[in-house]
Amino acid sequence: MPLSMAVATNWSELPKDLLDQIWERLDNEIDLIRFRSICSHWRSSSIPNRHSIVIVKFPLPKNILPDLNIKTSFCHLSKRKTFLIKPPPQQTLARPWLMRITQISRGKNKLIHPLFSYDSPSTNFHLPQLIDFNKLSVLHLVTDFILDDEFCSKFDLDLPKKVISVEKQSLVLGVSQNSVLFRSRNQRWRKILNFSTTDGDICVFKERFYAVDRFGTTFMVRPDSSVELVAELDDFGGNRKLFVESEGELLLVDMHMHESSRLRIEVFELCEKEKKWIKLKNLARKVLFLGHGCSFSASTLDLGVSKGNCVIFIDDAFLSFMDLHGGKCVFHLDQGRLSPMSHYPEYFDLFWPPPDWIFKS
Amino acid sequence: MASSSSNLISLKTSDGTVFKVERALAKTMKTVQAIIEEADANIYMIPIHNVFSHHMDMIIDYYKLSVAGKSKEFSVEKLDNDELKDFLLAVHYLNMEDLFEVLTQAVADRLEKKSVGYVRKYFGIENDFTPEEYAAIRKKNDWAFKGDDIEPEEDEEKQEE
Repeated sequence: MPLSMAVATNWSELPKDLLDQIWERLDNEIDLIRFRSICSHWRSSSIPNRHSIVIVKFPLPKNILPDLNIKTSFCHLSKRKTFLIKPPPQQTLARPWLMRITQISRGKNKLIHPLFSYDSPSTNFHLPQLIDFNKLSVLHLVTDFILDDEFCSKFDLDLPKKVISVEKQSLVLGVSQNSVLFRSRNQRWRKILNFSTTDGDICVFKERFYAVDRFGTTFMVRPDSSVELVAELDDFGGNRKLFVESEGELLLVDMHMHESSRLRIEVFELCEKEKKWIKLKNLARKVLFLGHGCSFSASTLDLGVSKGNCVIFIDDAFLSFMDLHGGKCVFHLDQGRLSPMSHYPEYFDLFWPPPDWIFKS
Repeated sequence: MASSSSNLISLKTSDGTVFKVERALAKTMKTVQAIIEEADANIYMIPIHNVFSHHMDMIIDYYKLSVAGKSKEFSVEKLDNDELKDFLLAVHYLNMEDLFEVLTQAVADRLEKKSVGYVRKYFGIENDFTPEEYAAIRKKNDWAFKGDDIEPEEDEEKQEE
């Protein structure tokens, strides 16, 4: 029987179906990008990053660490999605589930307990069984971006405070120290001058960037990095401003937070025509949720709760100084009163554990 | 004696060694299984191209471990990159699902967090992009070319431009 000729195949000549099995096992997007830069055959055998993760190189403020040879740091933004999973209509007593997942790499998700800070080490939870989301009624509440420190520089001075992105247009807006930085596609970072978002906020609304300072002055940033004033508050209000999107509208939450006095919160709705924030006397059935780097809203109907018109703090982002159950509280807008979330099991139970009916579907 | 009536299948590797393996092991090799099923007459000996005796040794090791429920103990760490590639190709040819997954994962693990320069050097791959193509790729993903854990001579990448 003749000896077969040994096929001296190089790594660069491996058959495509074999390469598929390799690159599909690369756990993170950066390795995939490198894979696709090795040689033309490897590049043509793989599919590029589908942008489940946005990699952003963020410029360092120049006065930090001048001795080190680090010009920029880059941060790895992960998309975090928050969903409300509603029980089937026949199950009247079942409660919905507010679930949050982070996409850690293409096709892989990590479940996060929504009531903990995203960077807390104990936030990885494993579901006891598989859940088939195709069979459930899933309401997407918000997609936001969190900074993943796996690929960041070792010195966390470099991390920007918040970064948001409109991926379709490859736009990124970031807040670092006292500056707001903007970048379009692979162009250079540009500082958007004369604007500080300390105690303010930035958000994506209808695929546009919005930024607000602590006085409520709100700007929109266009894809060409030009900036337009969109609204102002009549008076400066409180010392912390946050955006929340609710039912297709952009809201502004104005918080008066002082250690010596009671917490006060006012909510405003954007009126672009008059370039003003109009105060909302009552949120009616809306419930606003605020946490580290994110905000979202839902209606009492969807949540299956009895009372709306409140703001829920889901982690210790804002109220840690008041030492109320790690900051998890409910603020009732009609009474101006703050209570620990544990007093309201109908809210507390939305988060964890996942309700039984989910596993039975 | 017809081999189909016994529990052992004879496999002849590229380097001429004959292995008598259990039918159950042969079943994990879909290529071999297809040959057995398609044959009209009884098969006397099945040649397996591109598979060397040292590959069969490892295949048998893996089989024994997985039968004992210890497949996680199987390791290809001691193989260098080229040996791993040849083994991967052999297992790919034999169409062995489980072992193939183990090996492709092993390759992915060896690529993890390595810079482009490192991979090219230690996997023996040439950069066959034109200077323009490569410049465009690098421009698009400039930061990805800074290695993390292991960095070969950094000059290597500068020379290619």
